[in-house]
Amino acid sequence: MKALSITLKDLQLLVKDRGSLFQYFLLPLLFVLIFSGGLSSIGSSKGDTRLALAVVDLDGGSGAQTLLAGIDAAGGVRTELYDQTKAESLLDKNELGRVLFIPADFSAGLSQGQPVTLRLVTHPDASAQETETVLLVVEGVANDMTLESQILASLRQMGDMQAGDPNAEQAFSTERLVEQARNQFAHSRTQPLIVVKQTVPARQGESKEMPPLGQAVLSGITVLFVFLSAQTVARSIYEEKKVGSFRRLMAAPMSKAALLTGKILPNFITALVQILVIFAFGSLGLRLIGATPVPLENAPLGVALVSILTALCACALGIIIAAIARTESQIGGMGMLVLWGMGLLGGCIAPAFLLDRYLGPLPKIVPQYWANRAFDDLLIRGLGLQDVALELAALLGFTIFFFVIGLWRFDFE
Amino acid sequence: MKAIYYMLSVTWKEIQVIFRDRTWLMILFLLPLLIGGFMGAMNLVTNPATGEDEKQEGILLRVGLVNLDTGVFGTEVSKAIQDIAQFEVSAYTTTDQAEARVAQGDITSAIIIPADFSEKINSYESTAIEVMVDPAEPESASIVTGIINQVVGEVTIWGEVQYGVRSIFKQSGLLAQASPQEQRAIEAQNLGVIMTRINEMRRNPAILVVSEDLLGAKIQGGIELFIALLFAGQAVMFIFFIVAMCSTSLLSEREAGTIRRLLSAPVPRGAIIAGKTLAFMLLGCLQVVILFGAANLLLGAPLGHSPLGLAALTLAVTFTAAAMGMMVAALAKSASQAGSISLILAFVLAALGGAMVTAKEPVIRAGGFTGGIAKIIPHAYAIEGYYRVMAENESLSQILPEIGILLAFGIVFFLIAVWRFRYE
Repeated sequence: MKALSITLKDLQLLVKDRGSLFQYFLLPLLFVLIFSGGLSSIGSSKGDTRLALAVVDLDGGSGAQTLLAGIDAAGGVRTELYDQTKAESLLDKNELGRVLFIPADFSAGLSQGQPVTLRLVTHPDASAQETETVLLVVEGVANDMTLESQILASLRQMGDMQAGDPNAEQAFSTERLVEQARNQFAHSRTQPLIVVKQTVPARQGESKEMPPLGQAVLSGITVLFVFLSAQTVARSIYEEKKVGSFRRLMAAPMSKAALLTGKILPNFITALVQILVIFAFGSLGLRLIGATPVPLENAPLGVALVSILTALCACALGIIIAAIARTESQIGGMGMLVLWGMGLLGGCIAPAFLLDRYLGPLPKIVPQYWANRAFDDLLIRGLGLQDVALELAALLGFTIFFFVIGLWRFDFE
Repeated sequence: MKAIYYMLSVTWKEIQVIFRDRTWLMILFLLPLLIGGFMGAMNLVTNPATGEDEKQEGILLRVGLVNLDTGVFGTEVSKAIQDIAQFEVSAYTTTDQAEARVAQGDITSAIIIPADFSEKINSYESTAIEVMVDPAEPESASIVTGIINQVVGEVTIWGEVQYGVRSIFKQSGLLAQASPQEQRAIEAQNLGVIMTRINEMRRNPAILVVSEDLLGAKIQGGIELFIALLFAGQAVMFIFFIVAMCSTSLLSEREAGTIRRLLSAPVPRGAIIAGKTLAFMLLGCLQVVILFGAANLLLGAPLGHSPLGLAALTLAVTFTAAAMGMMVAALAKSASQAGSISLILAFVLAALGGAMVTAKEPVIRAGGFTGGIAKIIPHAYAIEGYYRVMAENESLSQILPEIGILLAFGIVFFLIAVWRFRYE
């Protein structure tokens, strides 16, 4: 009961503190919006959003036509033809950001198996990102196009090996080889010999498509901000110590455990509400602005359990920070640095597994890693409660460890 | 002259106070380094423009391989996958085993070669390699699929050439007339031709696409540009954290009564505000020097060819940030309210101004809602200016519009501060 009084008092203080409210509830939502690309989806046009690419076709042959049709069909880029003088003049004035020059010998070179070069000339002020997109599309189409010339060159080489055998020479005549290569190329357009099919592990009755990015970033940002609130726990305890109210409370007939429980409980409740708000936004808010929502219905019990343990663990970490830090500046500066560092290591903002070669098993030493993994397992991988047993155990272990060390090192005076 | 002396005295006192506040020093200097360093390193190892040698030292992805095909094509694809430096490959005998590991997030993806892979290629029928990816790791999914596409490209040439040669022999009747020994010789020749072609493809692509600037110089890959943008964003975001420090400092002094005491001395009012602004501008300049210096030394961030442009822009950005701090102090009722408002401003403006970099170019260049709203945010102009100098090698004269707009923001903030601030 006494602990609850402290809890109520702290909750009232928190509601009055707009800065903390912003950090608890609005800042994470802002991060979700940015990192999920939701911000860009607001007001974005649904029309033809392909990049326009100016092309100077000095060749005019079938090779150039195939190339242009390929670029238009690849998606992302559409071609617009210009004559050379006009394109160069517009490019100089930066009225055109970039121009693709198809050389005069393009088709002839391709059919003779000679290497040819396409030049993408870019104005210095043009967007580097758009240039990279165009380059990727053109390279992709060019690679596909070389299939015909690769087949032809190989058949010619085989024909050369048969020199001296009149029957083989006839079979490997130029016309026959060109026809064969062309037929195979045409066949590969509709029925490529090998395709790479990307799938995700199947869940019964669900599609095997890749989920959108919004879902992948939500758990990381939730975990990051729940653990950042450890700083608030530490600061709240420090404030009580500083003004001497802790000592006064100690004089009251109240156990140390009840005192600390009273300090932790409001932050624990706030952290749970924080998770609820972020997930509700992930489910409803993203849907409202046209981004893909996060499916929360997969494992509600599992999500609730992970949320409770994550919030508890963050509070326990707050006690440890309060116990170790000697000054307010250590809580503010070191606390923030350590919590952001742990969040980055735990893969909350960017996928730390990409640095696996350097970090090795290091991410596993932070609770954020396990909380993140548990939320990902439940929300994105579609696993059940039993599949996150290890993650739950790790979070519980961290929580107990933080509490024990925190209480051991805690100076109530 | 005396006014300048008083102003510099206020600046010196403020600098001493600033450098005693370790909390803020860590937030302003170490946090952007930590975040920028981590994100920069991550992008360096995953960027396709990174050199092959560096890449081998870089990313490592755990992938599973299920080769259900006993033929030559399955074996070759398996070998190629196992030789890829970025992969740590575990072999599984069934698709279910591999799928379970991907579903649990133990491996980033499973590459499944179907049982009839070689048979289909030999009979010139379409076939597919399945790349089953972990939906919780979309970044690894695109990398693995990209690499497998490259592997498949070569096997496709192999299958196509093999079919082409066989078709010609078959249609001419030469294969039917040949003895088993001659048939084996033809197959050996066929294989030789294929290998020559694949090696030739690797050495000299049939269509080379070159990206040039107007003078014909080759344009470098995008990673340096991204690192420049990342650190420009971090620098601008954390320079504007000064707003909180600046506004709370001014209001704390008012609440403690030290401003009143100063005013009873012959110190002009403007000297107090100007002195504080100068101190926080110097702090911001130091942030830029440390952050860009570290980014350049550790991650090879380009700094451009115009130190003068960088310096002028930094002065304009730090002036705008300090003036914004003064404005918040003038409009807030208490130091704690100023702290809250500044925190909100710092994050919201950073987000809308594109300082939390999620794209490959400054947000002000984007169209639609995001690009439109960025045009009223000072952060966006600051990032655009830094990006133009650092990544696009522009000079001071070319970024004068950005500097002008930032100064205009700063002057407006400063005037509001002077107009609205209550010294008592």
